[in-house]
Amino acid sequence: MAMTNLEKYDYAFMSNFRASKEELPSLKYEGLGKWDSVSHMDLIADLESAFDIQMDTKDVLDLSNYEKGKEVLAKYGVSFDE
Amino acid sequence: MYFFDKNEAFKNKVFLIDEDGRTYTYGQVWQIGDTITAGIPDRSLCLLLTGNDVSSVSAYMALLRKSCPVILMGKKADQEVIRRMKESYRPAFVIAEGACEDQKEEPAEMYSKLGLLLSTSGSTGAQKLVRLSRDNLQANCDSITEYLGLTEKERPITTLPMEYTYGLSVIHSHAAVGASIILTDRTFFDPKFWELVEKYEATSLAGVPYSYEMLHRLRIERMDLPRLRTLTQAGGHLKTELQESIGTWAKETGRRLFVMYGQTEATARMSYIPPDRCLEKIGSIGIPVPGGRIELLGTDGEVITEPGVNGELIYYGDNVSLGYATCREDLAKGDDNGGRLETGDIAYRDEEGYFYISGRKKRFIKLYGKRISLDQIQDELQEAFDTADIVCTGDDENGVFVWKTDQAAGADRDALEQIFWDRWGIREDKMQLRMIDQIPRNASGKTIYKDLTEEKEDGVQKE
Repeated sequence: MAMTNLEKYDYAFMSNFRASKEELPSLKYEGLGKWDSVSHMDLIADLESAFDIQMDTKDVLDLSNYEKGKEVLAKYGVSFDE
Repeated sequence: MYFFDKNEAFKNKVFLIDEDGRTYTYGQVWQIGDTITAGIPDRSLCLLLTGNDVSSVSAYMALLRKSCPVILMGKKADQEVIRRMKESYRPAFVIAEGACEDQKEEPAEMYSKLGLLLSTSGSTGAQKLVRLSRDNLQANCDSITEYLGLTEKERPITTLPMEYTYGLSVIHSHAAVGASIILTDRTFFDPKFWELVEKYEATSLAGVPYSYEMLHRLRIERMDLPRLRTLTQAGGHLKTELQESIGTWAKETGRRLFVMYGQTEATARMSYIPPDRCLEKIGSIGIPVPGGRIELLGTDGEVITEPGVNGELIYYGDNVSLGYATCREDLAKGDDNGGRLETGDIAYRDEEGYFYISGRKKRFIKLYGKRISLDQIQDELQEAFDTADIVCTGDDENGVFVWKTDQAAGADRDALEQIFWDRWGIREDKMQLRMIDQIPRNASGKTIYKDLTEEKEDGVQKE
């Protein structure tokens, strides 16, 4: 069965930050630790390829926590409503 | 005059701009530094824990003025690593966040010219430091200000840690010309960073290859950065496509991209590509910096002069470090290198005298701008997996290849990923696991590295 958008989205976060699903809502960009600039770049790359989109500078910068990321992706037509 | 001396001509010029937009003149920075270090006798060994902030820069320059040999470490470094550094070198004073703590240590016996001690590796275990003299710092600073054509009008924003030789060279070279520096520890992915660039009109950025991948990801070509004129790159090989795309953007928009090469052992910089040749000479490390000279040495010990022939890259210049230290006693050592550095890089030159790195004599790779020893990783993995036979190879692009016998299928990969991340901060995409029946070794037991190629793997866990 194909993955839903939410599953793809969660997977990108879980694989990049080695985090469990429960931890996801508390993740945010910090510039160090788990979510540093290196993992941010990997996350953006994964999201862009998972949803076949190219994000603008502002959106790459705005995507600074788990919930915010959904709002950003919505601008590119990615819907999380099942 | 040294770049850290009090140059009266700069006294009322702005030196530092902090994140809140506060400006500090050179005169104020001298005063802050003198105040922080007031209780420190001249020529004391100091450990300075740095961030890209006013107190770190002020204290650093003041310590150099007092001829205090100073060890730099990032203030966010692991506590355990800081503790081990203190234990190995027993500094007389530790300075952090503008506060100075007397360690009540006996004075160390130190070489009179010793000025700065920098770590070469991002790895956590090594206490190995490069010993640099104040003259080394000044020599490299002079070369850099010359080929970058720096003037007091420049205004770089910090993009690299101050304890990293490249980040430090940005501070040195701009202090030398009376320019202003915008200080921040923020990264390219922090919107506030770009606010600072815009608001305080940054004119230049420095970056390691990974920084340029970030800038590419941020689509720097589409950003409106009217004041930004210069980009510099060092700390490893920039991918061809990236140099092409950033170089083309720079050329079309009248900006300068400097691709450069260096090592902490040479203070920072050894060569650079003049920006007007950047697109023609992709893959090259360029020509020697002013005041430096590069020689290629064949395996038979003779100097190679013809183009296209590989040899070890030997650099000559006043920026060549004194040598290494691995313990407190080593601080008394004099100039071991005598202005000659065996870089361990294998290179050739083209007809126009541009140099190209083709490999490494020693087994190091660079990841995220940090130098990583394959032998060290190999040794630590061997310890962790004592029933297996393990060899590590690798390159800057793909990361570390782990060649391992005695497979435990998926368990290995997970365990390895965890170790790579915990110990060396290496992510899973830069760790390639290759299962193999037997490590190829010659009769005397030496690993035959050239036999460890893709064709030889069993393909059990290929990506």
